[in-house]
Amino acid sequence: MTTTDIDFTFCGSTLIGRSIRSLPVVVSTNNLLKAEALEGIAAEGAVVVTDYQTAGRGRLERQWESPPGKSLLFSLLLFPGDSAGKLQLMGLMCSLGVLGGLTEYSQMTNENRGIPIDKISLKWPNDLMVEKRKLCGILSDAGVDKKGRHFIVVGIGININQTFADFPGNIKNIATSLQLISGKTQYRGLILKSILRRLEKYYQRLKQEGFDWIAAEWLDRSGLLGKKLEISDNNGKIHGICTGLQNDGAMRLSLTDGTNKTIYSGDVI
Amino acid sequence: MKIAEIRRLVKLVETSEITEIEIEEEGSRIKIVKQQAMSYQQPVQTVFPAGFSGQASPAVNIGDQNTALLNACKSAEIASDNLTKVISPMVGTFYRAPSPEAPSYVNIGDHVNIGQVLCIIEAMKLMNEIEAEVSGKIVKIPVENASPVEFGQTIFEIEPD
Repeated sequence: MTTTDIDFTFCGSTLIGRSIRSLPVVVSTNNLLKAEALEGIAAEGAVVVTDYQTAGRGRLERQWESPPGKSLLFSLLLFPGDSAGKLQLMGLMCSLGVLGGLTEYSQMTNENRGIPIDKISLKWPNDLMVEKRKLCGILSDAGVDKKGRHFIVVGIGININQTFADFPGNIKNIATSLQLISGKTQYRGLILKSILRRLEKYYQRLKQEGFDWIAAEWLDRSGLLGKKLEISDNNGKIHGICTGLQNDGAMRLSLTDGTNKTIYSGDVI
Repeated sequence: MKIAEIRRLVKLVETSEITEIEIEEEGSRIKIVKQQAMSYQQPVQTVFPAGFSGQASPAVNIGDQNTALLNACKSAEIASDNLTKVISPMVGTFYRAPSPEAPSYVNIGDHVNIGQVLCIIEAMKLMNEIEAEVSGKIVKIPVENASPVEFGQTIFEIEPD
């Protein structure tokens, strides 16, 4: 187990990633950073990155399968302030940040990375996909620290250098990696820095303009407007056409029976 | 709107000559009405999203007044029982456990301490742990596991120590 391809020098941002800690193994980067946030011992912008999580998780505690050293697994701590019910937009913002960071990384001129950025799509609310296979997942935890400050820990997992043999059988057909779509070994450290720089730009914009630009920008980049979607939630499957996102990020659907529905939780199939 | 802000508004209505206040901001609307004819001073809270058509009409008819009175009586019962309501700070899905296989955080009859996690409300992969703000006994959980909840909806009732 090694972190040799992650370079932890300063990534060029003034807030997000000014403190980057690398740990070979953790239970979950989100759990660690959240515990520190609750205790008030982690600063805003703190980033924890690891080679392996023993209990990485997704929505509904689904396990995030990641062979050691093949994924880019990190969490960051932010204090966006009183969000008036819009804190969930941070996940959408971070998916835009990951996509922007990957774009920047793919365009570094010293080497052709071979990453087909135009094949990477956004899946509501905050996954990155390549032809229906998952490339990146994001899960966030919200809380309030001892000083009463609202915080959010955003956990990001990106499949970087896995081959199909690295994926367990149950996800072999639904996952992909940057190496699989590019045919080349990629550099986790450079990718991390590119993403953190992009996230910092987005976060600065959020601090200046508030949350309201996020849903519109996400929808524009996703190309989902007018698309037929199938969404699975706790009550079964819903079919409809995406008619937009609310300002708080919720998905608006026009259902086949002519009614409209607003979705806050669920999986787009 | 934050819970603390709602509490501040309730206090404002309670302690002033104001009988009714309605505020709408960023997709949420809160209306607080003080029922002067009742013998208690507990204000009635009605909190609902702005898009909820059943409550959004400003017109008041007899049915609405009856509903308001009924709500007032319910609140009075709660007030007389000295129960503390825990309300949802966001729209999302209510989960009583961290995963489908895990035991519930709390059950009816359990004693909870301040800061103890009661449930998770999830919206768009943001997991928001809701903690007890008072210590006491859980007496009611009016929401089913994995059900949608609205902003301001009561999700627990606690009998404080």
